[in-house]
Amino acid sequence: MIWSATRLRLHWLAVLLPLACTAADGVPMAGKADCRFEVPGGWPGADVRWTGPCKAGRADGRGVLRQFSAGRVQRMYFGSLQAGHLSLGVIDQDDGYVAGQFAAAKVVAGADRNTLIKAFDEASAAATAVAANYLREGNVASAKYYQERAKQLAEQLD
Amino acid sequence: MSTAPQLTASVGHHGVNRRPDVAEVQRLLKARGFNPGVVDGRCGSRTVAAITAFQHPLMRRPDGRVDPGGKTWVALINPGAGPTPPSHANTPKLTQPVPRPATSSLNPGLHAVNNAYMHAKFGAPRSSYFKDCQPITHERLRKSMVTASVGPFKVTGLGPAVTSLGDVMAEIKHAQPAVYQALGSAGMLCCRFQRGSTRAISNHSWGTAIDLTLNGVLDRRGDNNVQYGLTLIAPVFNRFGWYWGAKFGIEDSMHFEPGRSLMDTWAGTL
Repeated sequence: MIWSATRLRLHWLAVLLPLACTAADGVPMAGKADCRFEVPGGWPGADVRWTGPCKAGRADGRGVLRQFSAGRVQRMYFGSLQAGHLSLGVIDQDDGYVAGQFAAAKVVAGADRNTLIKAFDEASAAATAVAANYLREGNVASAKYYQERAKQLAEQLD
Repeated sequence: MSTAPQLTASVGHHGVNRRPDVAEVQRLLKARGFNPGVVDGRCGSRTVAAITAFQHPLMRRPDGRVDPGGKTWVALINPGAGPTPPSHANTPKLTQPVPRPATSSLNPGLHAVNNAYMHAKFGAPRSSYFKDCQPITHERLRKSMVTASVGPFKVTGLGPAVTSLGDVMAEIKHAQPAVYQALGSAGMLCCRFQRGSTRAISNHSWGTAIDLTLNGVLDRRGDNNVQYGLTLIAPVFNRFGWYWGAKFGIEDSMHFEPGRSLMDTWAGTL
């Protein structure tokens, strides 16, 4: 299993020119050819980057998707991807959190409280995994940022 | 010859708020198509909301304050710069974060409950707890739980709390119909430990507290900002004896629960 952030540094062109196409189910896919992922609904045409593990050509496991605009992060998805598809997690956007199980890149509406709790736990675990990866690479500042995000996400629901 | 606008000190949330400065900011906001209310030099919630709405396209985390020489002030005094209001700029988007109102102004006359109070009045919902939601095992409490629609969504909770919540929602439907349409629930009954604790349990364990969403978005806990739509309905909750979590030590604006006085009226009836 290879972490995408590491590979992206080695292949910087892929960062600058992320690919975009559409999966069989119509959901836009992005990312380098050997680590594709679907773009969350409502992020069309965006520069989206995955930091997390990849498997069999797809983003797969716990990590974070970040949407960039004019060099700034606009939105983030903390959680898990399965074979490139959003699974369980939380979108962090300007006005708050959208949490739950995802299907076809959109959150499944009407989730019960246990599902929401699990989504925030998964998002927190994903932030923790990203922090640990940055720490291994010696990037202390990024590790600290994601550790703090992990704590915030874990404490969202009572 | 006109004089350039002057600002001697900060205006808005946690600002110095000298009246001439507040009036100047109010005039400029009005000139830019935003609505801070009457230009009276007093910095109230409408002025802060208008500043926040003006800042929204300018910065990722609007702070509701204008500082001399700051980004917001520069945008305000340069007509060609800064955001122009959308058609409903006078009213921020319902999910838009705005600074938490002064805590002294929140939940007037109401008191929050705690674990000791709830245990004394209602008993322990279970004998053991975990991180996730578990069923109530306390027989009398379990029999008092109901599942019902309260208007915009269905909930499971303590019978009188669900009834009262239905009354609150009926009033919101009348007083704040746009917010009513946007409301959703992140759950009411959930027996589990409080976040990060292995002793204290969540107030959701008695089926009396509710977390709300607006257009499916949860307010971010602990950032001392609150979704604008929640500020519109908090007074309605308060009128029915419900306490708003925005006043908690760690701001929790999506959270509402019956205040102590309201709980007292139910404790002897179960």
